[in-house]
Amino acid sequence: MKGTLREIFLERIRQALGRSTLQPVEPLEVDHDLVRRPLPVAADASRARSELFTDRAQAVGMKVVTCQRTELATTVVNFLTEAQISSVQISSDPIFDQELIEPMQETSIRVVGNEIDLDTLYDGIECGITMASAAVASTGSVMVSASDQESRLTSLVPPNHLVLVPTSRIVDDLFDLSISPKNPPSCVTLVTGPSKTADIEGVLITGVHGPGMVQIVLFDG
Amino acid sequence: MNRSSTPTSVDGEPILFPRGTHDIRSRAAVFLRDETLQGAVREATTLKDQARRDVLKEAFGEDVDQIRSIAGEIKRHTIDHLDYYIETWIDRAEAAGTRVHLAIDHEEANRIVVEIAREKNAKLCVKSKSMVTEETRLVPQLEAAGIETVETDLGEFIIQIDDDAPSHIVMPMIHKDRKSVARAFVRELGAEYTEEPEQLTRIAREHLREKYRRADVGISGGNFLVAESGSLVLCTNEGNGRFCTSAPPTHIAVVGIEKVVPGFKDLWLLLHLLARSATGQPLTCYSQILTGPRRQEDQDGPTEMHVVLVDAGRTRILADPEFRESLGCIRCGACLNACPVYRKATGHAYGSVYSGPIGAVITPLLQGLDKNPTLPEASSLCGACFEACPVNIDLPRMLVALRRKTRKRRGTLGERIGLWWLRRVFSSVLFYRVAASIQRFALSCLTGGSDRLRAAPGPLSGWTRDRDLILPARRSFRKRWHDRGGASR
Amino acid sequence: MRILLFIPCLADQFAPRAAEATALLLEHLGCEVIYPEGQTCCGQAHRNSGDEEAARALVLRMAEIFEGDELIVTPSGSCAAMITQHALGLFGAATPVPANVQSLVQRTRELVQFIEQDLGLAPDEIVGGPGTAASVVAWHPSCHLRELNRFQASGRFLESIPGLAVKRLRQEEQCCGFGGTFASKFGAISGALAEDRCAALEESCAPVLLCNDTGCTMNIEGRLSRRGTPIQIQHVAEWFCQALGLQSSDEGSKDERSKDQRSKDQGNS
Repeated sequence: MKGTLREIFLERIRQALGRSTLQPVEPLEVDHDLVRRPLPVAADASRARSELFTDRAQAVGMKVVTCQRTELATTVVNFLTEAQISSVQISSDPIFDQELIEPMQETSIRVVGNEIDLDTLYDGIECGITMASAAVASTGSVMVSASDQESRLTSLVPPNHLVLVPTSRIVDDLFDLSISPKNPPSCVTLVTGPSKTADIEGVLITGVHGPGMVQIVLFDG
Repeated sequence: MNRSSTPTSVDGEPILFPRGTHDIRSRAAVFLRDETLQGAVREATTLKDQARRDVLKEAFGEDVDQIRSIAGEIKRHTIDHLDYYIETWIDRAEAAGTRVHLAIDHEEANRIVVEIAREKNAKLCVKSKSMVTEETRLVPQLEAAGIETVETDLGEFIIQIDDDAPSHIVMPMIHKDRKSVARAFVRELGAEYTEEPEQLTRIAREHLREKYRRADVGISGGNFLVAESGSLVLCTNEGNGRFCTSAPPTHIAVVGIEKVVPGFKDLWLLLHLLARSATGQPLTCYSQILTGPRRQEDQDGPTEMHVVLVDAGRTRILADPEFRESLGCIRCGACLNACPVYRKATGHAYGSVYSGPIGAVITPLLQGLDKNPTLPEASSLCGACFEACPVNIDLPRMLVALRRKTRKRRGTLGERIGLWWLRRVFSSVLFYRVAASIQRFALSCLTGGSDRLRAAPGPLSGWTRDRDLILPARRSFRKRWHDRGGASR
Repeated sequence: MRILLFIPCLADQFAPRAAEATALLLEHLGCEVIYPEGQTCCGQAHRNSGDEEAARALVLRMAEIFEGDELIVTPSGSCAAMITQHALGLFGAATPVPANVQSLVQRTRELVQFIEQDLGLAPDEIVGGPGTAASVVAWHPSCHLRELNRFQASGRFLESIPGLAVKRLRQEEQCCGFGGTFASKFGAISGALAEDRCAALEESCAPVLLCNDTGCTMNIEGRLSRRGTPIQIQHVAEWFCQALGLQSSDEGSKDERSKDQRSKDQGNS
């Protein structure tokens, strides 16, 4: 039955296009690259990319702090302490397990993983900590992808989102993101700013449903 | 939540679906006198219009027009091969575990969604903003089936509880002020009265968080479908779209068939334009690419993902090469913001889910020109919409083409005579000169010797409503040229 | 250079001084100006009203009357746009476009576009300063300059005139609300748009508004008259003629209309 309906549906489209059978489609040749803008000239391309990413991410209202790989734990803990955040949910990335959890707990921050129940997540957690799967310099976006390590809700439900971005994962443009068309993650989200609205008389408000604060920690790695 | 009947407009007709023949002018006349409304719409549209131009120029410099035209080519190519790309998308989406449903009309689309919700024993649906579900009037259908359905986009939420309707594709409550929100929150949510947008937003946030937690089904629209991967792409700012597609165990997306693009590189190009054109952002805060339900190894996400592909008149537009390109619209709202007529008439005057220039084109195509004969006329053909369109849709051309259709079907007698007369007049210089003299004489009779007419009869009364008509000069250019012995042939 | 002068019907009747100034300016710039007598209308009103057949007939008529190799120059942006942007669209895929229509489309120019692109003249090569013309003006870019891709260019041209201060209007890109029959059919909306332009104009404090489309001029002038705002409207060509001291056939009288009025008043008394 479904096959039939599908055929009827597609047949209607085909008829509207004035043909009776599916015709081979030549892929469209257009210059997508015209949209790309060259990176600012710099001796070190990777550095230029990081700088552009930082500028653009800040321009859309996210906060960026840069640190060395070795300073990662200190930077994260400092941020949490300064923001007076005492409870976090954290993805299960190996870096987190090995380097972050202990120092956070040492500063009496409550650290939970993906196993917690929804009530705790909605009511008790102040910050979600995740690892970016990529970042885009030209738009200042951070990409988070659902996986066995990353929950969708960690970067969404708590009012603050702290996201770690290794500089090596920054790409120049959206075109450089590697999302396999054959088997993409079930949910890929490009985060480009804190949650916001201007629905009431055009007044900009951040933190509507999603996190009102996005803190990026950019580190060498 | 107590929902009354369909919200009505100043003419007593349903805001988005007036019965009978709709004349945009009848509502516009009332809205033009509402100074608060005029101020709000002018402010919001001009700001967004300026933001669009500024950020596009900043991002792409002199290449903007060429990029718009490439974006248009991508959409046109996809639409010209919609059979292929839709089939490809369905295959890939099903391979990724998405359950694809096909709806030929509004009723079928609604029925499919209600059935899925029933099957899940759903008590509560959370819904993010979607134009096509406004078209199909999905929410009342779900509520009629006893399933509480909550709009979660802040603007749409306010509109829902205040029994109103969206008046702009991107800024749905552009016509409402904070006072009406404050009153609705007191009345419907039992909140304390406040007019502070920040606090109003907090109230909505807390209210809706409870809903996300309890919801059985999340409903969304879709900005794009990527054929090569079978993905659904959602662009939102508030995060409610992410909640609706991540928190409840079932996600249903309702999407028009025209939303498909071939591949990711096409998606990236269009994403570079969409938010910049809509709100002046480089990208919306969240661009989600959803491909199937949660995988076994995933930590969370809906266990079922359904996509309802909706035709509902699209194939009819597809069949007419003259209007086919209107299906390329990515619903950014830039043409509304740029349109002088939208700014004055405002959204509800159009009597349609889609207002502004794109609405003036697709509303007659989707709902019938006979019901909407004045929409294609509601344009000075200034071309601002065409210039603003990120996918380069020639809206003025289609407005004129629709005028041709209306004229053939139901042009008024006066209009027909007028055009016929003008045609005769312009067909020979002699006629033209005689007619010009008659015109000048007739007009000077009306003015009683003055050089300007302050109140004209008949079809010219529209002109003299707010303006004088300065009479033709005594000596036409032709006469002057002749008098000074200019060279002619 | 020999050119054919295209004076659209509205300009012929409602703005003959702008039309004449166009001819004078072109002659001053060394052009031999020929006025084809048979011209009436380009078909814009019919095309915009959806009467393609009549519009096509009028375009064909125009193509015959303007046959030749000379460039065709018009003071009206909208009529230039009608010919160059829309005339070909009146012929469906099945109907071949006659050669003289093709040629008409290729040879038609709006005045400022012609001066800049075909004569290759910059403003300072034409005029040293405003002379007796206004030294502060506001500029209303007509919407059809958009179609001609001259929206910004025409403004820049004016801004580079030596000694002339050009005030850009608030929301300068917003249509004045003319739109042909739209102005009458949608009188309330059109009137509100005309008011927006007049308010912006008043805000600019410029004593003169420059514009190069008769439709916009009639509309804005009509609204200014209704609200009693004494701001003069000139076509760009009129401003140039005044700055250059070129005399129109009004024999130096600054305002033919007031002269008309005076003579009429005298006749009445």
